[in-house]
Amino acid sequence: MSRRSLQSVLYVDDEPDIREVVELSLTLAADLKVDSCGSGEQAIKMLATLRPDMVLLDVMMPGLDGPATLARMRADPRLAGIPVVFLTAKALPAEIQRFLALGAVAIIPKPFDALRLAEQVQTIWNGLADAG
Amino acid sequence: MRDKQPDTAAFHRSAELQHQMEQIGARFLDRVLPDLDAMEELLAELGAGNASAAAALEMVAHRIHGSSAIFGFSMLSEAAGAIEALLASVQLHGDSVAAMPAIAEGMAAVRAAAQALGASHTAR
Repeated sequence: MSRRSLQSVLYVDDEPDIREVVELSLTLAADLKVDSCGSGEQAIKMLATLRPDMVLLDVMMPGLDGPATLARMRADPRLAGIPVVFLTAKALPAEIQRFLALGAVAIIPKPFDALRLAEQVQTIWNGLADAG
Repeated sequence: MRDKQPDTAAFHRSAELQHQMEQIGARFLDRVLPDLDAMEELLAELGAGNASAAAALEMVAHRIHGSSAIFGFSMLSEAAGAIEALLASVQLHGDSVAAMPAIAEGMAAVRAAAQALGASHTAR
């Protein structure tokens, strides 16, 4: 399958400094269009109009956390097909299995290397295309 | 020499990212001490029997743990991570009274690490 190149990402994290780092990392290194927001609730609202190629979700957030946000997306036919990647400090094997079972396509452990994040995201995207 | 251009561009992007990371990291440190004040208040609430304060405390500790690691503040991250683990245990086992001294000690370690980092950044 030839999937088009990765162009846009929505990053969801309640920590504003980390949102800034991710935006910088992905725009500087990969020239992606990056939107971000601080909660799962905001993400669901933004996704209705943004329709990014991929969503990067923090796991532990107040209110609608990462897994609950993913569940909302999967229940909405308009959003169900958008690949979701979790960024989490809770990257124990059992947790990773749980996140993948929920429908995440990949897990990026925190702390991530800001200089390598774009490459990691691109690799995940390319893997999706290969798995087609 | 044209072959070198992509590497040069990548180097400049990397340098720019590192420079901006340092600035964001400094702003993060500015916010940590007020966060610790808020944690002290939540700790007092927990000590007074408000069990729901443990979840709020864990959330703040989790934020400091994760963010400081990304900026390379490893001592701060480890200290906050220790509190996060304690608070997770408190919520699992409901033993907040027994854990209070260890949490208070952990808070002091986080404050000391944050103050040391703040001082080193100010001195630059």
